This record gives sequence, structure tokens and C-alpha cells, in this order.
Amino acid sequence: MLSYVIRILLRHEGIVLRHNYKYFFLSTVLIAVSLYACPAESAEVLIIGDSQLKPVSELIAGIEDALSVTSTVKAPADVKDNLESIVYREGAKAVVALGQDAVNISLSLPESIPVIYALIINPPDTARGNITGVYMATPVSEYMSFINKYFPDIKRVGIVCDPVTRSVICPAEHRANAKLYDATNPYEFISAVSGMRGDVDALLLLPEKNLLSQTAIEKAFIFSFREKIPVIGISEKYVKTGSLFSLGFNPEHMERQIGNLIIKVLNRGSASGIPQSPPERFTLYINRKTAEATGIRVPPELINIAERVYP
Amino acid sequence: MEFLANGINKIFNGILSRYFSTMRQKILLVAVSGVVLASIVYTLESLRSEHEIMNQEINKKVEVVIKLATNLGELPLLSKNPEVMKKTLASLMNVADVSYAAFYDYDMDLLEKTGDTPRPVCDHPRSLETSFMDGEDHIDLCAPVFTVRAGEDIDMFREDDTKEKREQVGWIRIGFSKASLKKAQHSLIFRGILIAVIFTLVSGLLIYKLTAAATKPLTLLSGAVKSVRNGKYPEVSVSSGDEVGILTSEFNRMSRAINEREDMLITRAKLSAFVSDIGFVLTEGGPLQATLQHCTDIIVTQIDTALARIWTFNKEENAFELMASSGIYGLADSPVSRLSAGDSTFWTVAQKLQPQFGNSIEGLNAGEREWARDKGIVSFALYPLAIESRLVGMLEIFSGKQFLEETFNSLDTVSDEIAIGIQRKLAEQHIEASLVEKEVLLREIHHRVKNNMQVISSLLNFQTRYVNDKQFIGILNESQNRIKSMSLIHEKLYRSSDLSNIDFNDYINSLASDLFKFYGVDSSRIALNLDIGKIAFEIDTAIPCGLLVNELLTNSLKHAFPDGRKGEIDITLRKKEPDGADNYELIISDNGVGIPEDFDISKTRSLGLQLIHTLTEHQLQGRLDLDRTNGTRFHISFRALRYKKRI
Repeated sequence: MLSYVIRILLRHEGIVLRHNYKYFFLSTVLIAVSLYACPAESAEVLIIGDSQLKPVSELIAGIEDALSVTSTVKAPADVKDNLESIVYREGAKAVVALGQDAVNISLSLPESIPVIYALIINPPDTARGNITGVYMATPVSEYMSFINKYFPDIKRVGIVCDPVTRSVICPAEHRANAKLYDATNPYEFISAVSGMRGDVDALLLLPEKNLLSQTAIEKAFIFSFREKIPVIGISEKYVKTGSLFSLGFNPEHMERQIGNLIIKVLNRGSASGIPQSPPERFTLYINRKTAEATGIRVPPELINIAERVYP
Repeated sequence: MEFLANGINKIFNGILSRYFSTMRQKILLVAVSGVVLASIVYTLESLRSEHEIMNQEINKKVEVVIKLATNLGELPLLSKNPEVMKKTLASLMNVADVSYAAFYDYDMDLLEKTGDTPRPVCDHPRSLETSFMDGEDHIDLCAPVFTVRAGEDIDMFREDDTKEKREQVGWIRIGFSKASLKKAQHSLIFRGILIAVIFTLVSGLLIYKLTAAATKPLTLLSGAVKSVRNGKYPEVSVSSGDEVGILTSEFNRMSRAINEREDMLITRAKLSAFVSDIGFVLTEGGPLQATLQHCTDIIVTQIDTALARIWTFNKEENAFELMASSGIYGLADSPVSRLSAGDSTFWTVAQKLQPQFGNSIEGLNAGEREWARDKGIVSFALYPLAIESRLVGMLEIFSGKQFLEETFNSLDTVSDEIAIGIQRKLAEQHIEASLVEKEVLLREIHHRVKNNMQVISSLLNFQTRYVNDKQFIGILNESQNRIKSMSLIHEKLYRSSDLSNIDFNDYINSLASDLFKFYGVDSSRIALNLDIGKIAFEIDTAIPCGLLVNELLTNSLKHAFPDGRKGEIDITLRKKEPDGADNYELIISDNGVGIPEDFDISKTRSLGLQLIHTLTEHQLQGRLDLDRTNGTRFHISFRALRYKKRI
């Protein structure tokens, strides 16, 4: 166990090993003592997530690697009705909720139990305190600044979003050069997209599950190619099928980002005051054919920095 | 099973034998039945297959339309916008055969509909699969409409191992009209039946033609065999070398042989009839020339010769005289009617008494050959007509056709018959001449007897001039009248056609007339009524019968009507039918004063009445009855006497 912790620390906290051997040694001793004092079944971190899903299992593995504390993983279905008792039984000091189901279940916990979430698109709409996490949606500002930097010809960017979630997904300070359209369902999304004709130079897709049905996305792409208005976002998956480019979260960095967040919460004993944040690093995917089809010039340096260029 | 098969075979064979007598009909029945059956099976199978294909096509179409509808329906159902839904439904209505369409929400409440929806309420089960109800006029389909969303939030960012979430947003219901389906089915059935009928007809026609071609030799052979039953033996053309062809060849050989034999028999029968006819003609009466002309006519007609001539030989003049000619020359227009001795084939045959004949004209001399060629003659026959080496004539025949050997033989026979016929005719002519001569002599005898009797009568009449005794004069006159009555018999005989029978009606008329004149009786005072049939007697009966009439009529004229009394005398002579053909009754009656009751005819001394008694009972061997009730009525029954040879 000790060697395992050391290995993780060596991998993720190289700075610690390199600059403070004493601190490292003391910490190791403390951890070892604390581990020795805990019951064999107890875990400081309770991770709730469907490990059957590959992204979830990968993230769990990453988190466990990043953590120097014990953790246990439970499926949302297993803790749906008795999460609180499990938390107390396990003696968990924090709950990590991975995915929307897990987050929804975790929101039922008393505020005394800190909750760190991940693998949800946008921050949960809740009044519950003592909660923090990393959501997956790339901030509109990131896209807008990227567009401004690399695609100066795109002056006007159309964005369709649900009025309910608009303030979260697309805060007012990020709306420069953006033209917002309201929609509450895929049909309205398509109608909104159809109404963009001549008003925008690009369509930025936001990860709105209520709006983006498969049909709506197909319609959006048809509109894009027909009107030569490139679709931008949301991820590699969309770039592959016709989006000009996307800035998706970097999974490995997100693992570290969440690991740090957990450590921070454990250290503080609470998540209060720790802001919910978007991913810190992004991965660029570009579709060169879409650029050609929509008449967009892709700067060469983007090709170099892109994680992958389609096709 | 075997019983059933046997039953079917019996029925089938029974029908075949009963209604289809010929092989062609049977083959046609079986083949056409097979074609019809195959056509029906093929048509039904085709209809079934095409119906199945049509259903598959319809199902595919329905699937496509449903897929289109569920795709198109996603957004309208998500929007719940009536206008959008109407627009979508209108686009679906443009699809062929879609008669109505409707949107329902997730709870199957009607949102929007277009077209003639039979029931607004959707009765379909809430299934995640498309359900359909097959109605009378429509196929009613109801399909769930889904929208696809990302299953998990991460799914929007990651492509691998994602779970898309299908979320049902409502239902779409579509009705497909069966009108076009039914129309297509009707068209299919009609086309199938039409093809089947055309196929059957064309196949039937082909089979008929093939069967006719295949069975033609058999049919011809069968017809020929039927002709055999009717006495004809035709030949059938052989069209193949198979068994039927061999059979036909054998049949033809048989027919040929029978025909040849039949022709031979017919020829022989004709020749036999020909010989018989010639013989019959020769035995008939009539003049020699007419008989021989009849013979040449028969030869030309029945032997089909160009010329037939019969010459008779005049030995005294050593020349042949043409007696009959038929064919290209008749007797009247014959260029030659007499042949004197000369150097010709004709005379050679006549001298040698050897017939000469042949199916060639080479046997004729040069002149005769030229004439024969000119007339188209190819065969000839010359037969001497001779009786025991005595030449009586020649039979000469020329023909434009070849003669059979049997024909020459028959002509040889006929020539003998003609020779005999000529001989007989000549003999008959001699006999007839002799008979005429004798008849003339007999008539002369009767004439002389009559004349002698007339002389005797005249002598008696002359004697009366020298007698004054009236009784004696009366006796002489009566004798004179009796002689006249006998003389009249002879006169009637030599005037008659056959010299043997006397027409008694004519005789009694003449006799009565003479007696009425002799006794100066006016017929207005004494009427004479004669009732005499067509009766003729030979002289043996006629003379006594005439004397009886003479005596009885004289008696009535002299004694029945004294003092100028008027009255009637009836003379009846007739056959007694019940007694036979040769029995007669002679009734002579008058309504005069009658004979006294005490008068006995058998004891009277009157010569006349004694004669009557004697003539009746002894000459005629008859019976005499006297009736005196009303005048006098003599009834004499007698039998006609047969001629008795006296030499």
C-alpha cells in the first residue's frame, strides 16, 4: 500500500518528491499511521459511478491513482436509497459523484458531507452547499477567444440555448460576438438554426441534451453545409461527423484536476468555498473537409497543435 | 388406394371410349386436359407468387413510409405544433395509397389528423414496434415515434461505448388504402386468367395441329378401313417409315390386290353380262337386221369399242353384206355396205375361218392401218361367224383402247352366239314364210267352203221358185237359213285374224240381222236385245251354237208374235262364272205368245226343235231348259268344245 501511494505520488506529484523530501517522508508516515488506525473496510472517499461505462472507469482509475487516501467505488443503483448510511458506515469524508445519476443521488446527502462531482456537462442546478466539481462543458468564452484568435473571418457566432440554462452555460460576459437563440426542444433548436440563415457566420453547439437530439444534430449539419455556416463544437465525436473544430476536455488533465480537488476538499474537510470549474485544459480536433466545404481557412499552426485532424 | 386407381381408370376409359372414339380425340382430350390443368396450376401458383410479391412490395413500401413517417414525425411531435404536424401529415398524404395520417401523443391522445381517418381513437396496442390492423378498405398502421438523445452526459463528448437514449415522443398512425391493392390484384387475376386462357388456346391449337399431324396416317388408314367396309379399297399415302408407315404400305398392297381382283371380277361379270345380253337379244323375236344392230349397239356400249360391224355372207354372190354397224359409223352412213372377195385381212379371216385379233394394228394391211391410225384405233378383232365350218358372216370390231384377254375370249363366245343367232333367225324367217303360206291356204279353204255353202243356199233358193207348196218352201227356206248360218261361220273365220276363233258377238249380230231381213221383220215391231260379252268360240262350238241361235231366233220370229204383234227378243250369251271359264249359258227369250203347255220339246216332230234338242244335248253336250211363264225362254247351258285332232 505504501509503495502504491509512493508510486502515485511519484507519478502525479513529482514536484513534491523533487522539492520536499522531508515533507514527503512525514506525510508517508502519517498516512501509514492513519491507515493502520482505520478499520479494514473503511474508506475516506466514496466514489459513486457506473464503472461499467468506460469513461467512468477510466476516471475512477485516474482518481484512485491520484489519491493518497483510501476510496471505495459504488454504483449509483447500489446506493440510490441508502447513500447516506453507506457514507457513514464507510466513514467516508467525501463523496465523489461521477455522472448525472450519481450527482442526482448525491444531492440528497446532508450538506455536512462534501460532494465532488464530475462527468456532467454543466454545474448542477442546486441550492445545496458543500459541493464542488468539474463540469465538462467548454466555456463559451474559450470558444469565442479561440475563434477570435484563429478564425478572424467568423465575426458572428450563433448559439442556441435553453433560456433556463443560459446563464450557466453562456454567461453574459461571454456573449461578445455571439447571437443567442432560444429553444426548449430539438424542434425549436432546428427552427432556431433555420432562422440563423444570413445572420451568423458560425453555429456554436452547446452541450444541451434537451436540444440536441440526433435528428436535430443532423439537421444542424445539413443547414451548415447548405448555408456554408460551419458548426463548431462539441467534441471529437461531432468533429468527426462534420463540425469544424471542437475544444473538448482533456481526460487525463481532468483526472488530475479532480484528484487535486478531492485532496483539497479532504484537507479542508468541506467543499464550501471551492468553486465549481470547467476543464482547465482542452484538446483540439479539426475537420479539414468541413473547413473546405464551408470556405473556412484553417491556420496551419492549428493543424500542428490539434490532437487529431479529420479526415 | 388400388381400388381408387382402378375406379378412376374405369371412369376415364369409359368416358374416353364412350365420347371420344378416335385416337386423335383421345390424345386431344388427354393433352388439352393436361394443358388446362397445368395452366390452372401455373396460373394459381403465379397468382399466389405475384400476390405474395405484391404483399412483400406493399410491406416494403409500408416499412419505408413508416420509417419516413417516424423520422418526419419526430420533430412535429417534439414541437407539438399543429401547423408543423399538419404540414408533415400533408407531406405523408402525398405518398401514394396513403389515405389518412394522424399524430398521437405519448398517451395516444389525438393531436392532429388528416384524411378520412376511420376512427379517431387509436386502438393499437402501446407497443414499441409498429402495429398494424388489416381492415376491409385500409391497412391501419401505428408506429411509435422516437427521438434520440445522448444516454449519458459523457456521451456528448465521447464516441466510444456510448449509450444513445431513444425517447418516445408520440405515435404516428397511417392508413393505407387497399383500393390500388385491390385494383392491382384484380388486374393480376385478370392478366393471369387471360394469359392462362391464351396459353390454353394456343397450346390447344398447337396440340391439335401436332396431334392431327401425328395421327393423320392413322386417321387416313382408319378412313380407308371404313371404306373397305363399304366395299371400296382405297390406297393411303405413306408419309413415314415407322410402324404406321409399314402398316399403311401393307394395307395399300392388300387394297391393290383386292382392287385388281375386284376389277377382274367386275370385268368378268361385265363380259358375262355382255355375252348374256347378246344371247338374250339374239333369242328375242324381230327381224335379223334389227337384232344384229342391237348386238353391235351392245358391243359398242359395253365393250367400249369405236366400231362394231356384223356382216352376213351371201354365198351365191360370194360377198358380205353389212347388216349392222355401231360406233363411228352407223348402218346408214357406213362408207361400205358390201364387200366382195378381195385381198384384205377381212377376207383372209373369212377364208381361213380363223379369228384374228390383237392389241395392235400391225395385223392389218397398210390401207387398213392408215385408216386405223386416222381414227385412233389401237386394237381390233375379226371373228368369222360360222356354223359347222359354214360361213354365215363376220364380226368386225375396232377399238381405241387395249382389250383384255378375257374380252377377246368373250368376243369369241359372242361371235359363236351371233353365228347361231343368224342361223336361227334365217330359219325362223323360213318358218314364218311357211306359216303365212299355210294361213293363206286355210283362209282360202274357209272362203271356198263359205262360197260352196252360198252356192247350196242359192240352189235351195233357186229350188223354191219351182215349188208351190208353202210348207215345202218353208222347209227349203229354213234349210237355206241353216246353211247360211254355217256359211256365216266360215266367212267369219277366214275374215278373222287367227283363223281359229269366231267373235260371237259379231257373228250373232250378223246372223240376227240376216234373219230379220229374211223374215221381213221390222225392228220397230220386234226389238232385238243382245247381251253378248266378248266371247269367241272355235269352229266346233261355233257351228252348233250358231245353228241353235238360228233355230231359236227363227222360231221366235215365226211364231212368237203372230198377227203383227209387237214384242222383244232377248239373246244373252255369257260365261257361267261360278262354274268355270269354259262353261257358258245361252238364253234366248221372247215375250210373245209362248209355247202351249202341253207341248213337249223332246217329243215334237218339228225339225227345228229336234235340231235344238239334238244340238244341245248331243253336239254341245249341254242342257236345255224351257220356261213358259212369260212368253218363251230357252236356257241352254253348255261347255265350250276343245279342238280335237282329226288327223
